[in-house]
Amino acid sequence: MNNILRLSIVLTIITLIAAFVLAEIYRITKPRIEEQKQAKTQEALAIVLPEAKLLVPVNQKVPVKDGDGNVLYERDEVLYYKGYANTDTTHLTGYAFEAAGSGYSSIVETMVGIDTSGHIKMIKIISQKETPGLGALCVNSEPFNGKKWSTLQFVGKGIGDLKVDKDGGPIVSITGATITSRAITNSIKDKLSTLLPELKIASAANPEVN
Amino acid sequence: MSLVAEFVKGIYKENPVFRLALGLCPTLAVSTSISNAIGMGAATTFVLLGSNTMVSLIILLFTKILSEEGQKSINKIRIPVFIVVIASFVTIVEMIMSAYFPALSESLGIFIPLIVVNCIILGRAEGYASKNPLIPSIVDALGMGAGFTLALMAIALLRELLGSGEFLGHTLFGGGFKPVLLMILPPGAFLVIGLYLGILNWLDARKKQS
Repeated sequence: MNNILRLSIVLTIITLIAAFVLAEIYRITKPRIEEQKQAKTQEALAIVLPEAKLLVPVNQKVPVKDGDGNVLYERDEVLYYKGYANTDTTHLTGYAFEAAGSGYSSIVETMVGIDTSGHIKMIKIISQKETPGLGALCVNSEPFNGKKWSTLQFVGKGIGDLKVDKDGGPIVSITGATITSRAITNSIKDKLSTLLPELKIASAANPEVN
Repeated sequence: MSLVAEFVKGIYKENPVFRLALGLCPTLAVSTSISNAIGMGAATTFVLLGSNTMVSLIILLFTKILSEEGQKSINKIRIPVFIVVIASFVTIVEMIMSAYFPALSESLGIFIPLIVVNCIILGRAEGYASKNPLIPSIVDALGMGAGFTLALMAIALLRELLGSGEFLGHTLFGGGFKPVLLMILPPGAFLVIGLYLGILNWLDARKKQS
């Protein structure tokens, strides 16, 4: 009995010390980590909507539930960004949003900029951990030559064009990594199909919605 | 054994990867480029240093404050104690890396949290630091860390050179060079590790004969 007590006390003290140290370091590093995340998002936004001088995030309340389905609280999540060409909110130039899809070995996250008619201005892969040399080539943004995957091939595409060549669409997929190409293309398409009605962009401009 | 010999043994005679065959899982995964190898090696060395130091100190404390019988009973919970110490240091590394080196933490991904289960760390805590005084334990950690880092770099050198035609991210060959994709993929790691192990064993066998 005495023995068990002694062991428990020693283990408790050690875990308490460890928890205290971790909590302190978490408190110190957290603002930096947030900052890094923010900087990355801003950088991607500047690439996909270069002429936007002011970006206004449009938030959506997402309920956070516990195990029994009770709503604990609501979390703000950025649904999309409105890009304005000047510093007041008079001249809307386009929207930007993040799309995420499951690739071969990771979730591929893409930042997408669209103009006010719903066509893609530019996309940028923000995070991916696909196979080096194959799926990881999805970040390639060399000038598009019609044969090799480049993120530039998405410029000017509407929702109806978002289909990879293996599925009969115009998007040239990455050699040996169709799953990655499809994940990116379809994630953008899915997000567009929920966003366009919300932004009241007529799907008439995109006849092939499917 | 002198401290110098203690340090040097980790690099050649008891090299964790090539001699003890410990920690092969992260070795296979992150040796795709030299910069990844250095990052992983540095992170592992830091955790090794922290855990060896703490384990040595905790054991010292126990021998100072506990009776002979108490030490015997405390021996039963040494593994949980080691794991708490190791996990704490890994979490610290992870937080610091994502706060101050976001690019590195992105490319090393899941392998940072997995340092917890890297056999080198627990192996040295259990096999060395718990039986030796503080200073030799620190030297042992540094030597083992250096050996692990060098082994990773040696493997990464070949894989990066052949698999993507680069050295530290700089393209070496002209446009005519077609990278051997296989070397970047997991089979390449097996081939290179096998090659190095074979060469080392051959050298040893020759030494014995002469």
